[in-house]
Amino acid sequence: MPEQFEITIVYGTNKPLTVTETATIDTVKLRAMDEFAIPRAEASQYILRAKVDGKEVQLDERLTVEQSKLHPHEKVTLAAGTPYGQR
Amino acid sequence: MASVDPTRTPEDESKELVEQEYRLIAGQSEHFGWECRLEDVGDYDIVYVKIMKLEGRTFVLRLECDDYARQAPLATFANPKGWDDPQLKDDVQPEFWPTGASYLSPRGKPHPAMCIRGQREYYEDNWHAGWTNPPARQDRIYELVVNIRHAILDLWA
Repeated sequence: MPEQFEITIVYGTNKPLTVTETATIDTVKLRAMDEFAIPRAEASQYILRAKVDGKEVQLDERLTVEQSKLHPHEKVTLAAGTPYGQR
Repeated sequence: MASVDPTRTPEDESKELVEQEYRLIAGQSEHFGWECRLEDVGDYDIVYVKIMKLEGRTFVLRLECDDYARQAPLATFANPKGWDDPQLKDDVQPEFWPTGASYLSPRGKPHPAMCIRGQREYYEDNWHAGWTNPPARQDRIYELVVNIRHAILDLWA
């Protein structure tokens, strides 16, 4: 059984989310969006960010929780991925 | 039936909306490593957020929230020394803006206009459409501050 642990999703307020090491970041993002009642149809407009090796980065959605080096109780930011205009 | 408080003005309602957003910003100060202040200037609120770029500059984002949410906040950058010197807190000069090639446009102004949704210049002169009252989730003040922080960290200097 892959290990499960709890992280905290930050989107204005904080909400706990239990994740497995083998879950992809894409899946974690969708579940985080569910927690904040953001429609999954808007998934392409959102990203997850966290500190990895001391540096805050956008998490690669193809990687797993384990590959992304997320750890228990880590705070992960749910944020807009495309807040910029097209011109 | 809900009662209407006849003493509540549109300015009161505007400030209440801004203060709700400010509580979210203040609540995440430790997580995002910013400092923030709210100033009530009578008819409206001004939100100040100090954002520090690691091994880089310090920015003081100033959000003038007059007539929010009928219009988006006016986002400017104030003198970082104003964080400790009240006489300089509203000293807004182009030199205090971030610099960079991405999502900053001259737009005929002395300072670069940020191509980031949720702030007034983004919608000015039909540069972009999309501001609504009430604001869309992606346009609320909390999101604006997070997005500007990320642009400062990732794109701007």
